Amino acid sequence: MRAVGPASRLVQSRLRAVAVALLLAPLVGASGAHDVHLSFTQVTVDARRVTCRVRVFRDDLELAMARHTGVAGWKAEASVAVDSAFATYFARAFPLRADGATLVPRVTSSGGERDEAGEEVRWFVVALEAPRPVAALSLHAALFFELYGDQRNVVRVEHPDGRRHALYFAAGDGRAQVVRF
Amino acid sequence: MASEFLVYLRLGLTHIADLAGYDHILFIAALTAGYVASDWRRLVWLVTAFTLGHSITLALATLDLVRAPARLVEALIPLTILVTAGHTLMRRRELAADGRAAEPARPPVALYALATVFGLVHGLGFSSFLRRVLGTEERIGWPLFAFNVGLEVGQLVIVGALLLLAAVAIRTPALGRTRWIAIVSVVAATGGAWLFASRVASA
Repeated sequence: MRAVGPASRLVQSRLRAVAVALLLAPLVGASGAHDVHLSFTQVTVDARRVTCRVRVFRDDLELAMARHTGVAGWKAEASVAVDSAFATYFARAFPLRADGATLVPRVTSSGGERDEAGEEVRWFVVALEAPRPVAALSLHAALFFELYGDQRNVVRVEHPDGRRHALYFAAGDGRAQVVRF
Repeated sequence: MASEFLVYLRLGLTHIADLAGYDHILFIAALTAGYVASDWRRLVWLVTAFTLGHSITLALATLDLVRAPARLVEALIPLTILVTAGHTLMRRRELAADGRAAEPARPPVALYALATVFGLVHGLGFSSFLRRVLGTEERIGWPLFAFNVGLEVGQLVIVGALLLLAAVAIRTPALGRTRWIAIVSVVAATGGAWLFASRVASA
């Protein structure tokens, strides 16, 4: 049996450390970088009128709408049909209630902004009309919760007197939040 | 105003501590791999140097004085991980010896400078992320500030978790401090190389 010298032990210990590191390394690389799943909606309330300006990433929107409409390869193009389809999705994924009454959304305009990286953000202006001046608005921004476990939706509500109130919704949040005016 | 601050603080916190979006976590791991809990003062300065860097670019982005192409920034972030991990790997014996020295040596000024410069790059990534979501017309000063505070809190949470892991690892006979530093550095460098390759390939 051959004696193992200090130099040999050093080489062995180094090899073990490198082996452990190399075994762990693929775990880091395997999942790849993830996209950020976030939407932003600005809500303004003026007496009976509620207006939502929704900003979402195009790829998230197309995935959600393909699932919602059952149309594979659904495209977020500028058209009345797209706006109408989005309104039905918005009604389901972003329910708004004013003093207990469910509000019906209608898309009044939409568009897109492409950044220098080629990523596109789609925006929709959604109008809703309450039966009487809004005193309490209940919101549940669950856009894309059905797609991503890490989806977050930020909503900023602007009061008629200029005050601002921000709300945070994360996937898994099942409860609506209420803003009083 | 307070609710807005809390929302963006939470967003910053979850953005940096999100295990699925691990690039910033890898960078912090590579930066702090050589330190243990008793080095906390030096670690606070090191993390603050990184924060200083990304605060500068966040502020410049707020004033709309700087806007870098998102794809370039996304490719540069993994490079900062690679360089930092390589730097830590090369210094692992010196860093591991610190624990036995009566008066540990200070981290070289170059490391603080590296953390600050790389913080500038990560800051560009954070600001472009917020700008895309909020839109160019939106005033992003207050959200960016709150987001930055959330990032700082998140960084300190990550450093705390890494220090706990390091405390366990270096007491394990088969590991020890030098090997722990080597393992964290190699894992971070591999992750950085993977991210760099995938981001360049998708550009």
